[in-house]
Amino acid sequence: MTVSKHRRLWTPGVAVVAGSAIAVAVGISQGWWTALASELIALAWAAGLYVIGGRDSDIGAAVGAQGDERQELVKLRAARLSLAVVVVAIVAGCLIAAATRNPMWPFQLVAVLIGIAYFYGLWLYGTDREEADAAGSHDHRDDF
Amino acid sequence: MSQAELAAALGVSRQTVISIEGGRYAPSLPLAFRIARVFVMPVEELFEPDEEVSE
Repeated sequence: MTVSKHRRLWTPGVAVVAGSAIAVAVGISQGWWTALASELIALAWAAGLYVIGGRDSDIGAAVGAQGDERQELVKLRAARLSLAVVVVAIVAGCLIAAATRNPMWPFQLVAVLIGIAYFYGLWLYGTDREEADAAGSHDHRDDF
Repeated sequence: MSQAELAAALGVSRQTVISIEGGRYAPSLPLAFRIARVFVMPVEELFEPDEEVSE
């Protein structure tokens, strides 16, 4: 399956925007030469993503933001795996922060955001919302 | 018909055709009907309901 150019630019574009924002933050706190190095790393990362996004493979389809139904399923499973790793990393981060008497609020903030996004996703993609709407608009009947 | 030609006719990737052929992926109903249309066969002749697939 060929990947269209516009969709293929999506993931590298996000990498450039996020990397540039980080580079600006680095520049403010650590100087602009460090920021330039950070920006170059972000650009190299984005270029790598663009090259991978053009491959005729499942990884290429995922990075190129384009895939068929099976590739979407593969992408979802990969996202689930990476989220599990993030959750473990957050718990580890909290433990290390607590043990070394460092602030652990950044880890807690990420954990709360992930939790909110998870339950929002359940509400958005599940049928609970439709059932609530149906119950609000007219009497709910389970019998056929 | 090659796997690449079938993939193009179905609008899916070559890898997905390979997965379906290998029994590693069960296609959605719309895709199963598209496959049946390409081969001019009833969908129940292409896919057995009790066939065990991993997905």
